[in-house]
Amino acid sequence: MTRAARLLNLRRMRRQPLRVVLAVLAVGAGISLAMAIFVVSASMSSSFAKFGRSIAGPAPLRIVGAASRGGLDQRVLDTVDRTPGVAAAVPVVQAVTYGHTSPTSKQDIGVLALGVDCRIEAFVGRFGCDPQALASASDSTAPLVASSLARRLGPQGEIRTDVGPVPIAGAPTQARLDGIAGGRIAVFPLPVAQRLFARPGALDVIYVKPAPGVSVDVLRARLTKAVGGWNGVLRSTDAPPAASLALGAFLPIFGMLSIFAIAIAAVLVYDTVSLSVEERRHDLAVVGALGGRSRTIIGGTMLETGVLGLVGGILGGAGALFLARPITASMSSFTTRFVGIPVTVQTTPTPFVLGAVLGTLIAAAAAWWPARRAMRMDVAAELSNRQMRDETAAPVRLKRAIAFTVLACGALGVCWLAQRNGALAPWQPIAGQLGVALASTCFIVACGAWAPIVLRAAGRMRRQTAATRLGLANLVRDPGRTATMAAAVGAPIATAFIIVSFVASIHDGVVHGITRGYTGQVRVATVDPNNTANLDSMVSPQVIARLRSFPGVARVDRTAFVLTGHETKKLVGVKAIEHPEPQWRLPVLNGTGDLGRLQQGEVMVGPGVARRLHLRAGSTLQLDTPRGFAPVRVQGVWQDGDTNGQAVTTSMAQLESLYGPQPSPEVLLKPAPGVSPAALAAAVRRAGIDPRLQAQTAPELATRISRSINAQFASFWALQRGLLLVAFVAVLSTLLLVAVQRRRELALLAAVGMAPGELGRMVVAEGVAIGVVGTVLVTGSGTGMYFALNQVVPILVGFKDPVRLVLPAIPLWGVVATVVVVAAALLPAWRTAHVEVVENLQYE
Amino acid sequence: MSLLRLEGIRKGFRRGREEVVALDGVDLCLDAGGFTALVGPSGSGKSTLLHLSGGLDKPDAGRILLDDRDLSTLSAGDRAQLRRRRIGFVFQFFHLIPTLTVAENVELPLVLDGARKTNGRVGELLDRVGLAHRADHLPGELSGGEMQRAAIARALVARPQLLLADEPTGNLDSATGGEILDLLCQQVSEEGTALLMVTHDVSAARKAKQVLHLRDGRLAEK
Repeated sequence: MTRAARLLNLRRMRRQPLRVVLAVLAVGAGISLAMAIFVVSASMSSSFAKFGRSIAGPAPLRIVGAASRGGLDQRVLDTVDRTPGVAAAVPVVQAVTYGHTSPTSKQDIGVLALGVDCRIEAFVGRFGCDPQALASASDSTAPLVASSLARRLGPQGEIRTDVGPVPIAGAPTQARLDGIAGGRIAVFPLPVAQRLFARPGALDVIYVKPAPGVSVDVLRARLTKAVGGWNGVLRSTDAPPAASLALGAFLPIFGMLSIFAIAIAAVLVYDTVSLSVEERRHDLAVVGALGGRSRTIIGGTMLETGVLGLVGGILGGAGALFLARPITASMSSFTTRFVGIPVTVQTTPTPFVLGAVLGTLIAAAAAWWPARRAMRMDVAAELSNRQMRDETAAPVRLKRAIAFTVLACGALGVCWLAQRNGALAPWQPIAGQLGVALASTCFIVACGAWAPIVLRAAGRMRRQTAATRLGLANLVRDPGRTATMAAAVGAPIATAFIIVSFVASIHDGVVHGITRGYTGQVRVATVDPNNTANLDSMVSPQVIARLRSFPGVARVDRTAFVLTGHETKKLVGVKAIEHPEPQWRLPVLNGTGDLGRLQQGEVMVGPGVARRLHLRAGSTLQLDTPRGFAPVRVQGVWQDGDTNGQAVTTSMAQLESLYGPQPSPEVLLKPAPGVSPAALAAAVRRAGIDPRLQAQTAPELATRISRSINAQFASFWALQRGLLLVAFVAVLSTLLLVAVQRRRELALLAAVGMAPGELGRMVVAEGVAIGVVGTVLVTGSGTGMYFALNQVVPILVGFKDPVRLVLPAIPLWGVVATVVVVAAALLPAWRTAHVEVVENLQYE
Repeated sequence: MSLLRLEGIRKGFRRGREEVVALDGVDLCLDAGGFTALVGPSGSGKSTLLHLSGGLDKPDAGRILLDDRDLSTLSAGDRAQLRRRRIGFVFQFFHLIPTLTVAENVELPLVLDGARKTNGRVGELLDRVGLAHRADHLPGELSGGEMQRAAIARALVARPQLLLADEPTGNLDSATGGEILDLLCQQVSEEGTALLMVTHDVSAARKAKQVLHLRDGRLAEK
């Protein structure tokens, strides 16, 4: 069989390189989108592990606290020291902050600030550390800085802390630190770090080295028991739990879109194999007549397709690495701000290997049905030309179009059910994601299914050239292929429309939310508003004191945020604001939202944490705190999207009683009577209290957040470009192969007088028709997909935004897609125009 | 002794809504080493009868016996094996695989049968049909006569007992057609292969020992 397959299948591939390229591109495009997620996840894990190894040195274990900032009570260190099997335990403050090249520089440089004591010598070797000198070090003493960071910050550089900037002029440097966290390290004495980064009596991590002969797993189990369930014992290479927030919403959405891309790729491969099998029906009939076994026929086809899938999958692996870059960059900006770890794309053989396996499987699965059809061919009929394709019948598959449309609408109904009542039931997120996957697939398939029907109606229009009429007729009589091309063209248009609509939706949601919440107030902070709550660059107590006495300020309200939990899926963001205004009240999903009852210790929870922990009004929530588990009473559930819906709102007094005094990521200024927020914000900016200080009114804040969120859509735009490529390949391969299959007919048209130019225009007309009909139909299907996502995305990300349909995006991207499709039609048009008349009319 | 026997063969086809009877109670006998020509107007069922004889299709009624084995009782795999080892087909339109060389086309039945070494037999046949110098050429580079000679070599490569030729000279000029017929007759006389040949060509039919006339699905000896 191997020799037969080589002669009959692989030899044909060598002689038809363009077909091979197209099939490979189709598989590659689909695989790359799916594998990009894998590459991003793997890159994140790898980056975290690399960071963990570089920071932890010889310590395989680390103990983390109940909160992401200073969540470990310093007294835990004694408990760790006393645990049998511990050779060394090194306490560390690990703060994520910014550095700047000068007090007025606009560029933020991520810095990881560590606070250590002389115990560090157990890891790095003795260097003459003096415990007394460390204990008596002042806050103004410059830290030990990595050489590369010192060079980057320069002589006027400074590092931000929660009590203000620390200049690094004259700071000692250490080249050994260049190998840790990309060389963005500054090391402070532990007591100094605890003061500068608002961690009195608290630590972030204790790194533990086991005694010789002690198993890491055994020691881990002992420590877990000793330190209490509210603290965590992790491996040094484990990802910081907070980093998972970055992937929390992104992965499911991108995953759904990537599954769709793989489905399109599988359909393209199916189409390619079907056409290829059909084109060589005659050869297969001859093989059958000569006594070829069925396994020769089916096996050869599967082998050929498997090879295409393998190569396409490897190409997809390369594409995944390329596509992963913008996505990883987006994730990295989050992780750098949240946990101080940048993420870079890690190039390993794995995406190529996995891509090859996935590509082979997809191609083989897609080829199975056409291969079986080939095996069951009526050889005698084929050799007698009795089994000619019925080229006159044009089955219009109205039932199919209606069925998929109904199914899509049904899936939309599932999405609606999934989001009802705040999606507090455990089944709702899963139902929502299934609903989105089903709705998206069915809407795109419906878009394709309606295409030949719409084209048939269009074909009845008067005043068409012969080329256009024939082109439309070609599309109508081949509804399957027309549907595939229309679906492939519709996908990138729909994706662009959805992205643009979501951007508008999020913008309006942010503006509405921010404007409502911050109206009449001025936000003051030293960092940008989005995803910076974990940065140790808070508003210092001195600045707050100055603001309290600032002219025009009636009141200064502090805010606080603590990210609690040490397991990825159990994170809770606890937040508070002094004197919350009535407009802070969010839509209530269960119970009450009485801000006054916050002062009595009754918390409000977001929908994510309510669903995960089955919380309703009256429930008791166990919060992890540095001193143990703390039960708090739940007043109600409201639509709070912070921390992906895993947020808990308390009073400031309660938060600080649980977690100790907290610095403020931002403070809110209430203007004095007669002073407008805009005037107060301008005055604060002019006053130059702190070069980093930002003062924003509600509209200014809304614009800034909206712009920051828009930047995170870069990865989805990359996906949309990938889908445009898939559309190009789909149309090119389909039109090319159809031209081969219809060469007798085309030769006949030429023989009866159709000019070469007209033949070519006929094919181009098919491309234009596909582009136009795909654009028209996506108005409905794209809108449906948008509604499905609009219902379900809030379940994943926590924020519910209004419906915004940016319909002009459809014709805009429709034009782009049509241009791409016409470009794809040019080569088939040229080949059609140059059809060999005599040779093809003699075709057996 | 009869190598091929057709008894009461009936075969119909559906064209749209119409049922067309291609063969209606056909009986035929072909001995080993025999040469029978089948003539008749277009659409009379000649090719259908040939395909049935080669196990490419199954009759609606009747029996087809090859060496006393009823083809209709055999599985598709067994019939394919027969075609690989005991039956050779020669078609009007040659039906060579365009992406294989002449030598590869000739050896195809042996390759399909899993044979590892075929060079000797292939070379022998190419010599016999006068195509040794074209062994590495593709079918597209050959003349009609050369293609049909390659197809004959392919049909003979497995030393078949029965040769089924469907209009083997139909697409050739008279001189070339004559050469092809001589090749086929040589096979019959020298190797004892039975030959059932469908033809429109009266002069070709005259070379056969028996000429059968097929009209409206019924057979009569001419």
